[in-house]
Amino acid sequence: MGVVSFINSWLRDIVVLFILISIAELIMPKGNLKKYIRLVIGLLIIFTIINPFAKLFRFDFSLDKVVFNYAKPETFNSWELEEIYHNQERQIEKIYLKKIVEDLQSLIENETEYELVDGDISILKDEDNYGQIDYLVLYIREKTRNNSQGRISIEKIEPIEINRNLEKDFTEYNNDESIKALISDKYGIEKNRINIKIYKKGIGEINE
Amino acid sequence: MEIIKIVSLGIVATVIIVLLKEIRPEFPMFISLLTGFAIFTMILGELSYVIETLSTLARRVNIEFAYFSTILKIIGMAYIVEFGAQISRDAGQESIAMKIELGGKVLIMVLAIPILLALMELILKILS
Repeated sequence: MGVVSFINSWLRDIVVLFILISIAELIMPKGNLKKYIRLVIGLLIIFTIINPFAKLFRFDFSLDKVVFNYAKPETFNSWELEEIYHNQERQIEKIYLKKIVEDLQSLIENETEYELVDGDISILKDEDNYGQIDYLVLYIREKTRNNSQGRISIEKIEPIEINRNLEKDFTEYNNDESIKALISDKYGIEKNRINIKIYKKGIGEINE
Repeated sequence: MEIIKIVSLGIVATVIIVLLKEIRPEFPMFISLLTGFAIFTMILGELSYVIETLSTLARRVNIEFAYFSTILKIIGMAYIVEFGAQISRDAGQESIAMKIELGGKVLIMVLAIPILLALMELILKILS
């Protein structure tokens, strides 16, 4: 079955390629440059024919990537490159913020009576201090007790989402010096740049 | 009808050029240049439709898309180079036409070389 589908996809690629090439030949200009176009088309045909063998031998070969590596940088539009860099930067930043939130989560959970629901972090973006935390808003709630009255209730674990609208469920928390000191010590942020908000229903519930 | 427009434009331009050739020998070149541009802008919409169809076809199969867009780029470059070279040739400047073609060839090779090297790498990998 595997062999049949392999040959099937191979043949389909070749057939469609030849249809495409015949159309391309139609719109080709006639003149001295025709042979250059034919050269490139020939390369494409060779590639399509031998590409399945690369897969057969389990090479991880991506033509796009290799062509990109060999190409002169100017061959690609500058805005394309810029977009690639931007995307990359955005992804790195997203991962970085996620990691900080996870780190804070484990820190708060291990050291205090609270757990982190979400965190809003803005980082510095200037050259010298890139990545340093500029401002921190933490949404916490008191740890839920699972073993109240001898029964085990399983709490639904909420996924952490950055930038969710949490304002309405959370309120300013004033008794937060210890948490602020903890975070301030670990990350080197001034205390007045940390803002901690607590889940409204959570206050006082722990004593009931 | 697009085709009638194009053909009549071409015939009118040819007649004007033939008539003007005797009186003012420098005009025919401008007219052929203008006619070329006019015909090209006329077919631009249709051409983009053809190219789009080809791209969707290429995307549907497993053919690496960067590869196919390179071929389209090369065809486009070849057209532009031929256009310029023909105009120079019509004006009797064979040497400039040759230089334009040389430029086109070099730039096409710049596009083709990465593909050639990539293919070489693939073949060597399979053989080794």
